[in-house]
Amino acid sequence: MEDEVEQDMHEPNSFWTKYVWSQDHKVIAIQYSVIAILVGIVALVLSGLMRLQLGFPGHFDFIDPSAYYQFVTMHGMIMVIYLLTAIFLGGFGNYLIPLMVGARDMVFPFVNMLSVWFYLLAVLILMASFFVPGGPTGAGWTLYPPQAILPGTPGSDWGIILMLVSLAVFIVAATMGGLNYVTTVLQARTRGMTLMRMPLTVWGIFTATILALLAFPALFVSAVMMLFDKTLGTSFFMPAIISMGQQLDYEGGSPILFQHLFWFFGHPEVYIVALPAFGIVSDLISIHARKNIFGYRMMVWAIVIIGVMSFVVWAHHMYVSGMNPIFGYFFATTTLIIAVPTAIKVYNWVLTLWRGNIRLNVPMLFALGFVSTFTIGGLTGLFLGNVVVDLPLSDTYFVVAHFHMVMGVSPILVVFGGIYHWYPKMSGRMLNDTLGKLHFWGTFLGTYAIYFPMHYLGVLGVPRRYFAYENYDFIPDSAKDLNALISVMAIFVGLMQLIFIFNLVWSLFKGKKASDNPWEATSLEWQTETTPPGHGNWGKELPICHRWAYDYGVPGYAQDYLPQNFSAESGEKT
Amino acid sequence: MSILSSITEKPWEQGVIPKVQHKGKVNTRRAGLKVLLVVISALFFLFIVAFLMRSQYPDWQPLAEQPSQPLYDKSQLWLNTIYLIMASLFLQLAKTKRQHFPQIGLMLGGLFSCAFVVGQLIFWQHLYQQGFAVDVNPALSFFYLLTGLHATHVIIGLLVWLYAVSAVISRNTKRSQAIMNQCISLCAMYWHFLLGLWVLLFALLVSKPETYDAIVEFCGLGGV
Amino acid sequence: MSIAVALILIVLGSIVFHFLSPWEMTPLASNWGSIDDTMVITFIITGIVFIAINLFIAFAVIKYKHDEKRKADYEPENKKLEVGLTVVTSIGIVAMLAPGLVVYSDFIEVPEKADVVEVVGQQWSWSFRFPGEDNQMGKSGVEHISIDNPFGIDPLDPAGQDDRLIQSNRLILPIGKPVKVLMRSKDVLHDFYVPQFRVKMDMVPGTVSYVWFTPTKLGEFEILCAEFCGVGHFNMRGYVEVKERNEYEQWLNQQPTFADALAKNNSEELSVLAQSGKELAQMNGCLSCHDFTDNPIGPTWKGLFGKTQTLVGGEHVVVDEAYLKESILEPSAKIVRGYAPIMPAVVLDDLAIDAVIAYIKEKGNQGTIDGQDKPLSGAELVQSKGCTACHSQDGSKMLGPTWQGLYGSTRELASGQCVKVTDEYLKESIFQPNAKLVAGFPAVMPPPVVSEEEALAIIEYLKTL
Repeated sequence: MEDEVEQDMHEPNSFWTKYVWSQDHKVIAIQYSVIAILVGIVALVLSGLMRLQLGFPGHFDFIDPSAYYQFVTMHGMIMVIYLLTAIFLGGFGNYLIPLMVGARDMVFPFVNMLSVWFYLLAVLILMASFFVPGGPTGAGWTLYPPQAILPGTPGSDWGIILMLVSLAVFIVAATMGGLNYVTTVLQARTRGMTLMRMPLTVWGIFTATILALLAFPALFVSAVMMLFDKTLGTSFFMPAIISMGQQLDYEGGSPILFQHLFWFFGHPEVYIVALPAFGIVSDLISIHARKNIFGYRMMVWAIVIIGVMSFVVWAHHMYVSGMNPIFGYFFATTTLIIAVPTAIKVYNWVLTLWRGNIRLNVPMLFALGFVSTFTIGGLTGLFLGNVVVDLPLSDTYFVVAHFHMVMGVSPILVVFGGIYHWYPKMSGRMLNDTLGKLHFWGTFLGTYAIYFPMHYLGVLGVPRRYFAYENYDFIPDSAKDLNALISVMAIFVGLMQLIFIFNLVWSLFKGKKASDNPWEATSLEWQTETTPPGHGNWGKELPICHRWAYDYGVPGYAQDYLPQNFSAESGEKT
Repeated sequence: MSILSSITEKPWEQGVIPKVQHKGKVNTRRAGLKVLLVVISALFFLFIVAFLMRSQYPDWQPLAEQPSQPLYDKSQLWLNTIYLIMASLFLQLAKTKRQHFPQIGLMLGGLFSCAFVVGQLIFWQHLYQQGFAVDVNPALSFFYLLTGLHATHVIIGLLVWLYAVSAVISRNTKRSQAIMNQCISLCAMYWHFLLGLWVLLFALLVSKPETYDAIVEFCGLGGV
Repeated sequence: MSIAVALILIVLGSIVFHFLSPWEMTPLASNWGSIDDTMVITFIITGIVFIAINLFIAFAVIKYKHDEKRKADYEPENKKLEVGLTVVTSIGIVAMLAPGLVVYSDFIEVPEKADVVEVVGQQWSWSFRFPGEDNQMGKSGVEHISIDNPFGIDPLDPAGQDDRLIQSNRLILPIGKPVKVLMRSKDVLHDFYVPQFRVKMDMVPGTVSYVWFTPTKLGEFEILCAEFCGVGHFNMRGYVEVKERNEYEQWLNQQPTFADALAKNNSEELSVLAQSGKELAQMNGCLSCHDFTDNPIGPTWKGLFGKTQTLVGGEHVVVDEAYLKESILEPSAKIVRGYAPIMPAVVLDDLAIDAVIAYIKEKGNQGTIDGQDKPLSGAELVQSKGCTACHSQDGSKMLGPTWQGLYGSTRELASGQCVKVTDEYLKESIFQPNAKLVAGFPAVMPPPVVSEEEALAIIEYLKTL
């Protein structure tokens, strides 16, 4: 066809085009991941500071209420958006999708490269807010107006502006990346790779990307409108208000409108984080239990149904917002219904273990840790989703414990498990096993010790986003002791992550050399000719996919597993 | 194979391997553009929902009912609309009548798009001079916001157009010819989309209160 | 293997934790026991699932440990099992949702005979309003808010004239009567939350939200703000006291009406300079933290001029013009003990500062100037300042040392030293409570807000015990 523009197959050959301005999805994935981990460490330190204040109030003079709320906000926003979303979509998505579907690279490599540089720009803008007058915004990661742009909230001058601009830039980056992931899955699968032969990792990231493409616009809309309210004096979200004794120029706007827009983004956002985790953990459990994932079709349908339904549950974050109360019926119902496909996924993970042949290596440990912590996190969501039970629990530590379990603990365990699992493919070396186990046990048990008791503080009624709890009669002293204990555990878990960072760097140089397929997995990324995969991934010929991704323990074959490109006729990999 | 049958197959049962799976670069780029158009639609859809919801608050004033209101005199906006129609038309001609100077269609398409953007800016300035600044009333805030964002998307399209023009200017190799043709094809789709979007926004911004009240009723957006 | 053990221990540990935990819902003091019941149903169902899943994993991990000679089972799908599990899950979901929605419909529909009270939130304090005899709240709006009309009631609305205004942070409600709580905010989002009543709702500027409940227990309950509202969010204190109907009505009738408040403010006599100071104090936001009540966020201006203040470092300072000027321009220079250093610096020229100082002087000392308030005796002071909450006068053991026989005795301190209780010691302990802490008592005494004269009166009184 005369319109065909031939793909450039020439390899980049300078340091700059190979490692910096690279259009190779594998390099871009590593760039995303490194930036995400670095900025995640910043957020982790912020959380340590917060816990110091909560556990030992009055001991740390430099943490005043202003600083405390700035830590709270930046910790939350960085973790949700700049770490979790970026690493699952930009990190895991970029690395794995082309390899798992048998493509040479993403379909728009130049745009893919732009996406990671826009992401870096967004991170830099956000970090800059630490250095502007007034410091970063302290409005809470939810950035509710009117307080976010009014004095009385830290960073209401420059901090909030930089935050909103940074988010807008991030959304552009995510859109550029997202276009790639979706179009590559739809258009660039290799011969024989039908949708249902894709590993669940791809399904999870693919669906999450569609959610991102449709939900991030809502955040963009709310960010732009709030920026207008702040800088141009419009009244999208600002009603008539008194601030510092004086009536301001605003009039007629609605703070609840912001909340609707924000949570229309915000709820799908948590599934943007959770769905890739679901997909990855399905593969980890299957591979390391040497058994096909149980109920693959239902798993795919559940991912899709959860994705679709995630758009109709948003106002369960707004039960006490003062919105029209009738909405409570609708959203409580949809929220509890979405629990059904989610529960089915949990059943299928544990049923995969049944009659399996389980290797308790480090990735498997993290996968099991995920199932346990996600179960409790999801179950506490049922309390909050049931509108009337949410009334006493909203804005208490019950909510904080719930969302940390489902967003902070379980997906992070999957991030770790995924890195231990795919590190050999990316670097040609294994991560150190002993350090990995130590890292797992410290993190898993530590986070349980932090967040399980925290639910009880919430049931007691202890509110969130409080700088201190002095002289509240209904809070017993034992709660203060509990807070101190939680803080100690938090510092401990934070320090445990140093083991992981050390392992990552040390193993790059001193780790045991890995074979091409150390875990004996079936998916295509493990069937490359070289490890790490070279430019173009597959050498001269693209692989042909002959089977689904879960042929483990297939009756009638001597081998324990059949790679996806293994042809039954020729008995060879094609 | 429909989406439904492809998602219900049992992949552990052996199936037929199709001859060729790869869809080709052209189709892939078109598919990518379609995904992008879905995202842009979602963006403007949400802005429109916000517009409709905001319109129900007591301080709302429509934009085009009275002579004293900013959009009562729509002539400049109609002119801009014609520019955008011409741009779409010429890009479509450039795409389909490939044998007869697609370059001219491409250039004229870009020129009319620039005229559109300039025309919008002229209208903005006109409003500002009359005292209709962005913070005067919420409907006006939306007007600036929506037209500004739309114009920004036209400008981004013009960046791709520039790339096509650069292919035209460079030596007439087969490769630059192919680039130009593909860019024209993609630009045409993008421009038609932006034209449709503009018509929708224009209609909404100048519509009577009864109209959007009815839409709000129908969608249940009131009383949130 | 260890993971299986860990999961089993986690399950057992969680169960033990739950039953041993002292952290339960606060004792219910309203009619919303149905919310507690729904929570219990949810807890039981989710608890069963939590235990089942974790134990299943543990069991599977033990039973299906890796064995080179074995191959795993091959079972891509099991329609019956999957459908069965879906059905069971759906039943569980319905079992939680149905009661929840029934109770929710109770929550939305306010009983007809409910009383009405309005809670007004602002950064960072509460105030309350009752509708008065006509049972109608006067219309209110942000445009009417001024220092003379803090509730923003429309002065031209006749329904508002008899509204009862409670400027302090203490609300009193009658026991046993359903009350609809209307909520509004003057500035940003807040949330009215009393844990013992269970229900809460955000207060949104520009709209009015509501909850309703029936207080079922007498007592004092703390109000907490439950929606982040700025740096003072954690300190936005208030109280709801539930009393018998007759006590409540007695209290309510003593509260000023809006009409009273309007009249009172018109007869206020301030010099021209102080009037400008009043406007400046309002425009620059001073009044959101400092006012003329007893315990605002920043040091009160009531009786401030001429008072001796204790600073964070322990020094005393007399509040004169120079001190006030410094504190306006450099708030963190001399912070008063017991207050957080959150006051922003205010840029005012010399004349403006003089005006504000004049306002503080004139209005703050109005009581004493008129001679209306005679100084309270030591015995009255120890009651009104709250000392007797922790110190007994009859020898019984309370949170703080008893005052019986205290003066002149020798006490052992926490540090091991012994000290004789003299005038100086008592004065030091009033202004710096934890400087010489008596052994066996916790370091929880807050410094009471007293002037030098009042402290001396208290000491004289203690000498008599």
